[in-house]
Amino acid sequence: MREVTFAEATLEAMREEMARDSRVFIMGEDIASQGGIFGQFKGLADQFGLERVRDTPISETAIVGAGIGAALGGLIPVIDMHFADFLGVAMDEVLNQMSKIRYMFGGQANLPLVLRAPDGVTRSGAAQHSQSLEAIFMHIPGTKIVAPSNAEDAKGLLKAAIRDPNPVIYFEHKDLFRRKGQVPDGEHITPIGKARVTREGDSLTVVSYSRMFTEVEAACQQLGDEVEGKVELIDLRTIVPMDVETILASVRKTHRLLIVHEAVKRGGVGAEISAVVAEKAVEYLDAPIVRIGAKPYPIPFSPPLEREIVPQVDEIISAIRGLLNARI
Amino acid sequence: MKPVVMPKLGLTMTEGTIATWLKQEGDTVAVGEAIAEIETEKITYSLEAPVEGTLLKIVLPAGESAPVAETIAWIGRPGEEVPNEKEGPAASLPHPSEDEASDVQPVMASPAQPALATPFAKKIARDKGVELDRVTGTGPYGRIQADDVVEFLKRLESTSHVARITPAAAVVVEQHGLGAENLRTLDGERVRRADVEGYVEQVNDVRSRVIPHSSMRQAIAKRMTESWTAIPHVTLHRSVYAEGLFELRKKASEKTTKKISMTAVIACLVSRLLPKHPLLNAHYERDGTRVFDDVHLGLAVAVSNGLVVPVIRHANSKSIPELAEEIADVSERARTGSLNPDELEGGTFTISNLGMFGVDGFTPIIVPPQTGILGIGRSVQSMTSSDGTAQNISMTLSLSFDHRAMDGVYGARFLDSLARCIEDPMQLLF
Repeated sequence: MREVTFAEATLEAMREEMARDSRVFIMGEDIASQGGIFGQFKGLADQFGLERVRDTPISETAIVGAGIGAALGGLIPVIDMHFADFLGVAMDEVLNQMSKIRYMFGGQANLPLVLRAPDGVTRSGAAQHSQSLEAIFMHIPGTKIVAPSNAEDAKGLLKAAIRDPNPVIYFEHKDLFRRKGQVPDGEHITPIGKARVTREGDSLTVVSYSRMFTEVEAACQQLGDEVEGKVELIDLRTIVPMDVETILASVRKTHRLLIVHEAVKRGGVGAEISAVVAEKAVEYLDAPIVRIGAKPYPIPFSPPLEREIVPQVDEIISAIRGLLNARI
Repeated sequence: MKPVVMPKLGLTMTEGTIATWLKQEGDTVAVGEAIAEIETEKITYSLEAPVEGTLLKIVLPAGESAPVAETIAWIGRPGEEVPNEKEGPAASLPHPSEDEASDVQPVMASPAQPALATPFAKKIARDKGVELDRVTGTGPYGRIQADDVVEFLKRLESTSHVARITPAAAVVVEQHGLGAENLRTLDGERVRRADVEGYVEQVNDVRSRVIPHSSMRQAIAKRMTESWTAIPHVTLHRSVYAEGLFELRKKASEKTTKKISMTAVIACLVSRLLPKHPLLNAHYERDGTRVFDDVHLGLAVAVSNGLVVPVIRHANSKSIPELAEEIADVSERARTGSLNPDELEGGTFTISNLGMFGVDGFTPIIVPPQTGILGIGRSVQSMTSSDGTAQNISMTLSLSFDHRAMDGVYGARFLDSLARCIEDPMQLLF
């Protein structure tokens, strides 16, 4: 194991996959010239040349469209959106091309495209540079979605995404890039579609992912003995296809469920998880399902207002306490 | 032929106990004739025959309880065939199923309104054949949770354990008036006479005995626990000069031949003041505090085996003599157990007077869902000058309030207004 930052972990994945398979290349804005705004592409251009590390004009439509074409043509493109918010510009490419082509042409061609989308709130990015949009894309059939919460999975999931014959949207939280974590030595792949239980308990299941998972961990840390052996913590890791079995097995054991994500609560991934649990395990629930997510407003620039909108550790702590003590 | 069912006496009643049967099987009964005494958590009530005829069968023996609306007896013409056996609660339930939820048959709904319960609690209840109406919920809003059902099953098991007892042992149990709970400590396949005698000896050794909880005691225990654990109580004490109060009682006494109690005078002042302090004349509810225009004043009345809280409706529009008369009436009827169950419900504030027992001050417990209760202490005469001419009568008022609904200053202001009015009732006009 080595301690590296989340950004370095993704960089390791890129280097290893580009070295392993000459079809893998990357394109996006300021990747070669700047190394990515979060340092996640640093040095790639020197190592692999500008042919495989390509700077593009500022046109997300063109970037995603070219990625789809390259993938269909037999390459394995990794394309960078700069900010997940800009996926909106390339919406037709994502919604009607990337997600549909394999199906519409009867699987004649693979579409091994990885769409890297840095999302989430960090340092007052304001309304157009802070969103968590996974729920919108979860709704679209034909695309896999992953959202790592730590360096190990950042590397493992990126490698798995590159090797997957389907398009994968890789949501990487901007605030996680600089955080350090342990990454296993040698080849490391995190399977897509498999959640991880990081803490076992018998009284409350907490499902989370991406940055908010680290906030849930912090909440449990603060609660200490209060949650020891009681709270079962699940890092979802993959949004689509969702590891429903792990969630259901846990809820059948603990009988209580809390879902925490940074994305807006309304119509979020938490709503989907609640619905699945209600459909398949309602009779195991001994308390209402509780969801924590952002309030339904554009993310403000003002730091105090930003904290007001996005879930904080305190809110998670009081939900955990409320559920554990039968007060919710 | 008609069934006689356990009546629902009041909104919150879920089950009742037969205290005694006043008629025996084979007796002829007239419509309206009392046939049994029913004890609920709150009162004792005379059950009247709904039809005339012969009491054909007593289904529920004296001393036993049944949920509301369950058949407890049959009245009909002599010789009519009574339906076989009462339907046991377990008999109407499907067998426990290990299958998925979709395969489970819905449980026949009980006639009372369905209990508030979590899905998991319902599943356990269904699997174990437990009727949720019999389970007390401890979750938010009284919701039944899995733990409550498990707890209920444990209790059930411990009482059924006692059923495994030899007849000879049962006689000894009866003679010594032992409750079923006491025998839980006696382990073994079957409780024998020697076990019980040994137990009795052991108990006598330490010179103690167990007074079984009456249903009223159980009800009080439950409500007090609910109130004390759920409501953050704050109690404010204040000494007040009470000359004005005695003066007022004297004046009111001149208007009537009946005795005017101190409680009636205080009830009058309190009910006039409460509308100006609406958060204290209120019910604390899930979404907000429900405040009332009128004051329905609960009065804690001690009865031989416990406590009841009859409610004086619209106390704020009644005069002191009217209040005195009504308080005397409900207190008397509380003692004789002839209160109507609905007279015990709907209070918006409560007064508890322990002054006549020499208590100076105390911390009364709120009657949920109300937000406040006033405790009244004794009146004390105190000399204030050395020559003994000036005398003051003082008394202590203790106000407990629900800190969820209001804060200390709010309670203190009410107590202050009340103190001023007690010193000088004319203050009410200002």
